[in-house]
Amino acid sequence: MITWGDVTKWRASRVAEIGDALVTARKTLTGLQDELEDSATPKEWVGEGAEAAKQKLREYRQELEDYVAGLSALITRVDGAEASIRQLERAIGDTEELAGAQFFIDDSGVVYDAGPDLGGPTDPAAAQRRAEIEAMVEQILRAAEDIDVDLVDVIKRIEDGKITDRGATTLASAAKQGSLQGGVLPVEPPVNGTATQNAAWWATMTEQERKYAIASNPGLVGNLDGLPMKARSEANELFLPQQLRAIEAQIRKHGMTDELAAKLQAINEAEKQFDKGKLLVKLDLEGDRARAIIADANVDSADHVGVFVPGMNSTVEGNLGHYVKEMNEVGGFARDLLPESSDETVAMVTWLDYEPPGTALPEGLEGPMVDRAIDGSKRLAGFYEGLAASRGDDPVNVTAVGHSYGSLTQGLALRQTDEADSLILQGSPGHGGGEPFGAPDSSGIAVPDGKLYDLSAKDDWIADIGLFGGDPDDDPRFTDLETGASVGTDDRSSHGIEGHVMYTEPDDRRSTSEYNTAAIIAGREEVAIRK
Amino acid sequence: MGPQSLRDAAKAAAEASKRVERVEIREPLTEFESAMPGAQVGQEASELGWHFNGLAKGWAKGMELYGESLVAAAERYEGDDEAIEDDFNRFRGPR
Repeated sequence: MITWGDVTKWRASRVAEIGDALVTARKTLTGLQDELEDSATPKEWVGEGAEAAKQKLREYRQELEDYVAGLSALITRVDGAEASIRQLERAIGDTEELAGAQFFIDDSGVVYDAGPDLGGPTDPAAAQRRAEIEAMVEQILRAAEDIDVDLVDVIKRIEDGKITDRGATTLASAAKQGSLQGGVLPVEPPVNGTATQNAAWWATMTEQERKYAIASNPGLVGNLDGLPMKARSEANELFLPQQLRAIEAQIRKHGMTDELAAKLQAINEAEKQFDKGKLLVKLDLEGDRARAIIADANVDSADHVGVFVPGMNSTVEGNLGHYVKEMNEVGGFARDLLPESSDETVAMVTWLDYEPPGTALPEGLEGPMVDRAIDGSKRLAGFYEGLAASRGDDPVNVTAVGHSYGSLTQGLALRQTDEADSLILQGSPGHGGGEPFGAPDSSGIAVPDGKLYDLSAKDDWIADIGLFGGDPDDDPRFTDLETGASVGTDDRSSHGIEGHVMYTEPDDRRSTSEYNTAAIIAGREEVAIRK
Repeated sequence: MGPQSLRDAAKAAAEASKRVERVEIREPLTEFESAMPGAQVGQEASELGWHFNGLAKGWAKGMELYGESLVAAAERYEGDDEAIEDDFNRFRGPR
């Protein structure tokens, strides 16, 4: 069993030297093609003796071709191991940096807190850091075992004669055939891994392995929180045709139904978003309705990320495209509010990875049910954890924005994770305070004090009913922001809004609600207009 | 066809034999032990090194004998063709 003490001594440069020596040997061998041709007996020599000589040379050529194929397979695997160990060296460096002076990793991989133990309560930030270090150590050791297993596997196959020239007729083509048989399959992702474990898995892979993982299992990779969203989108783009075929197969089996027609439209909507340059971070068609996450292309590197969750009657096929337009407009306003000298960037995410209730029958009979928000909040919390894990040490300012029923989903999610820096509720019928969620106020929401905001427009009666508990109007942790007409600190006027559905209406005009939402997303809370 | 053609083929076979015999694979493969301490590949690669070297030496020896047989064939070219067949069947090669 490979220990942490062992793997920290692994050196990619030494493995590279082995690979170089093997390549030199292969070059000598493949350079023998002329000698083999010239060793052939003259054509004019016939008879039994000549046949015996020809047969013998054929056998020798075959043996040398298989030999070269085996050596090439080994070289390919050694090259892969070298690249993987380079990744491991980086991951080990990152882990040790994260451990710093406070944590100590012993040779077996156990993480100790080297700080003073005064018997007091564990610092949550330190506990979180320790969990991250442990996840990274675990993933590094798993990756190291896999590198070892892959190398031993190819060695056994060579010794057992299972790597052949596959019918090649020259030493060069035998080398090529051998190389193909030495390819490495990337390590499978951790089963039911957390976002941190998934991110650690991704970090240990080479670019080539990542491409292979995306190409070989797009449905799985596209769904993993903790991976860069661009990688997830690439996987989901590849997965779309499979999803389409699966829906078409169901239509052939059951005939066209409203549900299947809606899913076909959802696929169509996802393709439209691709065409517009968006990332498809998720498209899930397994439930009653499609669920999706759409993000701006720069989401993996943006300094400020806004995550918008819409409310009731929201569907991928029906109005996801409209919400993306809304977020395009809000994201644009947020960029406008960044200081001119700033090179900071903004990206928006439209998160509809849940099935909010509809008001049409029969779903409308569910009334004020919270089950769909509870279900969605678990995935939303995972999304925030994934966003943070995928960024590693690269800081990102995350603003959670929830409209109507989406504010309940946000409120519940942010009781499960502390990875959002600010929260904005728009037209909120409650963020989930009270039974069965815990405290009746927002004290369970893990967003720093002073970073919770409420937008409640004139004549928006839904914003006043407090249906789901935790009405932000009555909560001193929330800062009430203006929704009426105003002039921003940029001297531009913003129009006022009324009712429940106009908070971020995409009409090429800036409302005060949009201005305030944009200001918080851009990290410019000082320019937001308070009520 | 003349005996010289056989001698040329024998020369090429001898050259191939020499070059394969000089190929060194065992030594670099022993380096896995220090490049990846604790890994199983250290021992397995060393054994593979012996395996590769055994194959190479056997192959080189076989080609050497093949070349010698061609030379013998050239010398006996005008003699008994059956004897030449016997000549090529007297060794089993590098297996």
